Amino acid sequence: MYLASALAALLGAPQSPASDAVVEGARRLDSADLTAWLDGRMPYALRQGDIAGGVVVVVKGGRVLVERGYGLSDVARKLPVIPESTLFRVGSVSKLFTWTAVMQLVEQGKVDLDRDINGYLDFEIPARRGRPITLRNLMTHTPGFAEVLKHLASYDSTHIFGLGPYLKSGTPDRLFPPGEVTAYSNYGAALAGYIVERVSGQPFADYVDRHILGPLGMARSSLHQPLPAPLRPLLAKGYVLGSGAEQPFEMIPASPAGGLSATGDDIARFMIAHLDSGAYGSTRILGPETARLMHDTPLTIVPAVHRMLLGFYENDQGGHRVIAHGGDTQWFHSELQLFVDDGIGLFAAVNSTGRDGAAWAVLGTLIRDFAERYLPGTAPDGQLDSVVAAGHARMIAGRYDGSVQDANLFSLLKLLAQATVTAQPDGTITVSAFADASGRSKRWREIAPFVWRDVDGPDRLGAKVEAGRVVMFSADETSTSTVFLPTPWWRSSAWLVPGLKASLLVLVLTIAQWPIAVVARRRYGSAPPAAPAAAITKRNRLAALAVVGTFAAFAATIVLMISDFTLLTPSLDWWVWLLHLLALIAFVGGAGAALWNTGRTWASRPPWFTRLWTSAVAASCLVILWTAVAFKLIGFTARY
Amino acid sequence: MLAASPSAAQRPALSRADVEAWLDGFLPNALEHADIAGAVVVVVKDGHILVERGYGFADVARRTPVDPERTLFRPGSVSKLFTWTAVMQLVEQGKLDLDRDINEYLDFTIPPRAGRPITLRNAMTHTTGFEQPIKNSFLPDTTVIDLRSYLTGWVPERIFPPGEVPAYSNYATALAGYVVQRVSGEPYDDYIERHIFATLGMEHSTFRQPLPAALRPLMSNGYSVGSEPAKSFETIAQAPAGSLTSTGSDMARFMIAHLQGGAFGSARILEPATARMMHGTPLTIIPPLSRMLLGFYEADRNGHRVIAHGGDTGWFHSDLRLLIDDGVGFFISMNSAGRDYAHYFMRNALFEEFTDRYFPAPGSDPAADSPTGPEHARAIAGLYESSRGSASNFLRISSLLGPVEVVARRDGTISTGEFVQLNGQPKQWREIAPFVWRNVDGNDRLAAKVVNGKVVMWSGDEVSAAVVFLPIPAWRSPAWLMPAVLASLAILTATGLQWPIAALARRRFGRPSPLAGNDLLAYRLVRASAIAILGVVLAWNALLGTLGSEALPATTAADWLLWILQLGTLVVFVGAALAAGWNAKRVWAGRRSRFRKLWSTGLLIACLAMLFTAFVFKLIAFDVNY
Repeated sequence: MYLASALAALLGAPQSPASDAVVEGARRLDSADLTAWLDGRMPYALRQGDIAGGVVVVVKGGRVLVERGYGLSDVARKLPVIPESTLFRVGSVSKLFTWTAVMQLVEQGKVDLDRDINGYLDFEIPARRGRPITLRNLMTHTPGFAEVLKHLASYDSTHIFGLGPYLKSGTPDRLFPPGEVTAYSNYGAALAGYIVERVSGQPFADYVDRHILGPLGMARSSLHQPLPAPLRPLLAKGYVLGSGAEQPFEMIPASPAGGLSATGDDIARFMIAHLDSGAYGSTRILGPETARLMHDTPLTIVPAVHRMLLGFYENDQGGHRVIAHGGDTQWFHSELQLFVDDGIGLFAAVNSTGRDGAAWAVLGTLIRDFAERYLPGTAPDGQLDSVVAAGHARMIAGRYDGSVQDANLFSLLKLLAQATVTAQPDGTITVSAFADASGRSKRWREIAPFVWRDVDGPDRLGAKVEAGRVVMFSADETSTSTVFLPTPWWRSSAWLVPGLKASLLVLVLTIAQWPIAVVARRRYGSAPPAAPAAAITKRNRLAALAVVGTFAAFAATIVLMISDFTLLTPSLDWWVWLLHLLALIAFVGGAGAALWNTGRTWASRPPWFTRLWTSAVAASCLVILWTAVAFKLIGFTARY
Repeated sequence: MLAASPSAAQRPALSRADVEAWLDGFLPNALEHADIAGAVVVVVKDGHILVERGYGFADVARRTPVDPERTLFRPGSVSKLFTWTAVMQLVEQGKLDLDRDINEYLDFTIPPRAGRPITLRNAMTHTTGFEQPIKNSFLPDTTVIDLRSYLTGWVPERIFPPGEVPAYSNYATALAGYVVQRVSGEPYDDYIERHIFATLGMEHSTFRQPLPAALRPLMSNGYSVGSEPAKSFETIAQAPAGSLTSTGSDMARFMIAHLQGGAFGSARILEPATARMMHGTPLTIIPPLSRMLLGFYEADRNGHRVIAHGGDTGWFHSDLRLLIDDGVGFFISMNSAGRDYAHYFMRNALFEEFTDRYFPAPGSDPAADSPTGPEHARAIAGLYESSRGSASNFLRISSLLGPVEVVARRDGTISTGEFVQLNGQPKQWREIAPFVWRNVDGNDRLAAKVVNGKVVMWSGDEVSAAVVFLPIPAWRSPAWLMPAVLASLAILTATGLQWPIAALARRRFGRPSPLAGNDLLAYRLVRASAIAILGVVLAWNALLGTLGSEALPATTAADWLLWILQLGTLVVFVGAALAAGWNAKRVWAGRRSRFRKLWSTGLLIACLAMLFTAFVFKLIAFDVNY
């Protein structure tokens, strides 16, 4: 509704016919209109979202049309954001430099997109079912790797180590056959950077300096970490909240996946080069053929939704071809959009996450509203027989796992992140993973067989169907990095989450009853119960304590590590190992003890409540044991 | 490092193209984020409309867009400007004197306070000192109101002497509207139509409720948030204070007339001298804060004189601001409250950024820190209550439950939850002159009036025209009373819980109660009383949480609940105190453990504390006006 509301207002179409404020179709994209529009929008959006500062750059026709800095790059020193000189961390937008480098080497015949990458490496990525990984798989995020969290970022400049050692320190499990399932992989991008390094014979950051940043004159951009001394004072500080404390420089070991620092003005040069098929003025970073290959080779995994190109996301809007990439570090967030056929590029970055993740809303609505104001078009539409639509809605309804998965203790997080597709009575569907600006699940209406559209916007959701079953689905906003796969019953949150809650409640009550019973007995001077019953009760309480304690330790560890990336290092490996050991003893031992207790209790014919409670304790221990096995809490690895 | 702010380089002109693109950037994004369905914005300049824009929907379900010329909004208290303009017309004609006892224009009596009557000037400057009446302010759709019977139904208590304490009063404004009606001999609605709307050609404007049939199809829906169903039309009992319905274009005409010294083209609603008097007669209460003019708020910004009025109904939220020396007027109305009070923050930010863009300050003046900062921070730190509150009825409890706290910060600055930045963090204030503070991240000020070294009132520019904050007297300060009430509730809860648990444990272990006769009766009575007090407290909590919502409108229809609760409080709290006294006496007289003696005393104190609180905050009362 709001999308449509903003659209209506921006296009001016539904305004009063009497008002000559009405403009049919697009606003002319000129510097004055865009500057005023951005000035109206950005300062309020940043202040409201508690974001310290941001930069917006728009290029058109080979030139910078507008570049604006908003807010502060350093709150304590009250330094403004200056598009020409303030460096931002651009996160995964860095990958576009890696992919550009790969394409340069393709152009030179030094690498082949379809060869086994092991041919370029000095270590081995094992095959999965006999199928090796290619550079094309890496560029389209289909190598099928598990997620790698270890060494995501650190703040210690001595912690940074070479790409090779980083990559060799933890090769992720291969979860999917190559080329078949989109699953965004930073490790894969880092691997490609390492191949550039190996094939070119130059350290990766040096290669990019010489072959991309240098030729484009991006003098205030660098992949080196820490930054070269002359650039350090120009780097914006990162913040969680603009009103909060400044955060340290993030060292990103997988630098080809996210290590770049750049000014808005420098990114403008990179955008112009890609918009001009590789040329920037008289210099060139790619031949036109190579640029076309890179921008226009989509890999279709789920029909009808945005696809991965060779490194760029497809992000077409209203009939305009758009290639794009977003980037996030912990504090910096950015978006790069190229309207390749219109010669227009937009880059925006902010240096804070903001309240309630405001950064994503600010950037997401900016690129959407920019396109609607200056490059409007029509959204795909269609109508399907309501009976057929209702049938398809029932078919897709259920629980799904995202394809970016973990083969270790962090998979417990994914239990809570499972997406629920619900068939609504009106024939539409909702997907818990996709919410609108007010936090409600978006509704999707089927416009073609197994293609749905956001009722209030242009985004599509598509499903891949095999033998009458939905085997995967995704929507435009996620399809270039994640697809959703049906969750098998044994790991479905539909029963596991309520089951876990009930189990923990039973066990916690079992523990809590302990001190109350002790006090009451002392006060009324009653004798303790007979020996066998007392032993059972005590064993039950101990089992409950061990199981709950261990589970809580896992939960706390996961939450702590995920909220402070510096903990995602080998320094905590001893604790992860210890937890896994503890899990084996507590969950297996606890379930065993509780089961044995249940057998003994039933045999001794106590009151029905005692029998019931003992059984509930055993069942609870079993549910947690099940979860621990299914979500790798019992498992012997510190690879994550 | 380059230092120049990017916008300092080229100063955008206040042109139609620039304002439109700028508003197009601001509004749709802000409305979407705030979950506000629709808004109208009008900018006038030099006697003409520069820009009028509608954003979003007047009716979300039907996707009816907002049309600045035809869509009707409820400007709420911006309506007051029409009442004040009417008063000034009658002053101009010599029919009214701003300084005469208002009773001379009435056919009923407003009693004096300390021998002093109120005047129209008091009403216009919100210094009549009335407490704030709540009941029957917002009535269901289609209710027909009679102004006189509303005004005479309950005259709120006069809690401050006239002319001394700003305390925003809808009642006083409605009273002024009634004076207009009495003196002109025309019903209020007719008067405004003939002497303002008709003169200015405001064809889509009315004070009438329900709306005239011809206007009904143009009325925008009101929403709490745009993503939820529409609400019904609000009937506003204090009509001259808030019942206007109008369009953006019509409001532009009213703004133009005030900006042009009363003239609109060849027509005129006020003589230049009268307009000048209205716009330029401030009442200073706490210097140097923004003051009340004759009906307008003073709201100067960036060195430009601004006169203004905001307006809020339940769903519609509006703001009118006139850069009176620059010939520029700005009006916004939104048809939803939005989430987290977004309408308020948004409209303030919108005008701030509008003036910063088109009427920037000549240069920043980094006022020096005052050396007395830390000392005065400690002096003002404490608990306060708003002057716009209730005194004679149960709503007084809000000063216990939600006092306004000023905190002295470690760095010598102060902050208060009453004034919050756009990012949700409290504003921070540093002292720039004795007892004058300035927002660290802005230009607005906070200042205190000090008598004999003690802060007797303070306010901030955001509200100082009509609201100040007053120290809460020590004998009912939440600083000690709130902990006392919480401790009492804890004792009562523990006592209430202990009863059944002890009974169960005794049964299980086969131990009968050692008490008998009157001891047992007192034991049971006091425990039942504890539970009854908790029940009454929960009932009040439920009432305070729902009264004024759609489930329980604050109208006469809810009186019976209030009667039950007030009488129930009387019976239970007094009864409980008596029971606790009797129980304590018996426990101390008997051979009981020291712990039991102490507990019975604690219980008695808890019951007395609750009774004291109920009396002080009028939870025990014998009428239902509020």
